[in-house]
Amino acid sequence: MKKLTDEEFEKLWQQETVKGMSARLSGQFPAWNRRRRQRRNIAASLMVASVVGLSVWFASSPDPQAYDSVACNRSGYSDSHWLDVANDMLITEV
Amino acid sequence: MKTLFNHLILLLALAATLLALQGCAVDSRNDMQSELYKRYASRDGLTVSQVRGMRINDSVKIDVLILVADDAKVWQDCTEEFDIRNSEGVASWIGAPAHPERRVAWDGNPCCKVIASPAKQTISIYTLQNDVEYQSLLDYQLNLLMNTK
Repeated sequence: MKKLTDEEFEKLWQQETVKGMSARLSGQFPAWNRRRRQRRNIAASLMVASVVGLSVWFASSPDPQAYDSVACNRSGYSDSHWLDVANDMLITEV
Repeated sequence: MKTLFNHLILLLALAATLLALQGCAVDSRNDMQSELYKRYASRDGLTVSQVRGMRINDSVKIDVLILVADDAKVWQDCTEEFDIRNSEGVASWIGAPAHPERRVAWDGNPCCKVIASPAKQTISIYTLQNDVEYQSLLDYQLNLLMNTK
């Protein structure tokens, strides 16, 4: 069996468009195919994790429509804290 | 496979860009600090926050400045500066836009609504440009109260 590098195998895989040939290559080169699947699974896991992370990040951000910006001379306070204080003071007055 | 990696790199690049943009937004906020904010932000013992463009209805946004005294002594200084005589309940008045401590009569011109709470050692200043914003803030306040009860 001809020795192929991973890159050569990948190139061969990408060029393989004839129906059924991919399955035949998988059978002929099981080690490369296994490594290819492992890398694919890792990449897919990282992509899913990235999407989930970005989604959580955006979801946890305060509603951008509720205000334009918040500045504070001290650290440790979230923007939403100051929005709550501004609202609480209005309620307190009444 | 390469396509998958390319998508992953693209996604990470997008995340990095968003983070960079967020950093730029933080920097630009410093340029948007009002004169009032700058006046109080440098004082010891006073936590100062400025909310720019707080949305109070579909078409009106107002700026809010919040001063929180860190201790009783700083609050005492605030009460003298803002002439807050009651130590209980809440004091509120209409103030001059550049000098919220000065009481003025509401005449439709730019002004600020000031609310001081001795219990919370907090003063909030709502900047109002015209009669529409003044009325919108009253409506917003009423809605807040009704939703609270």
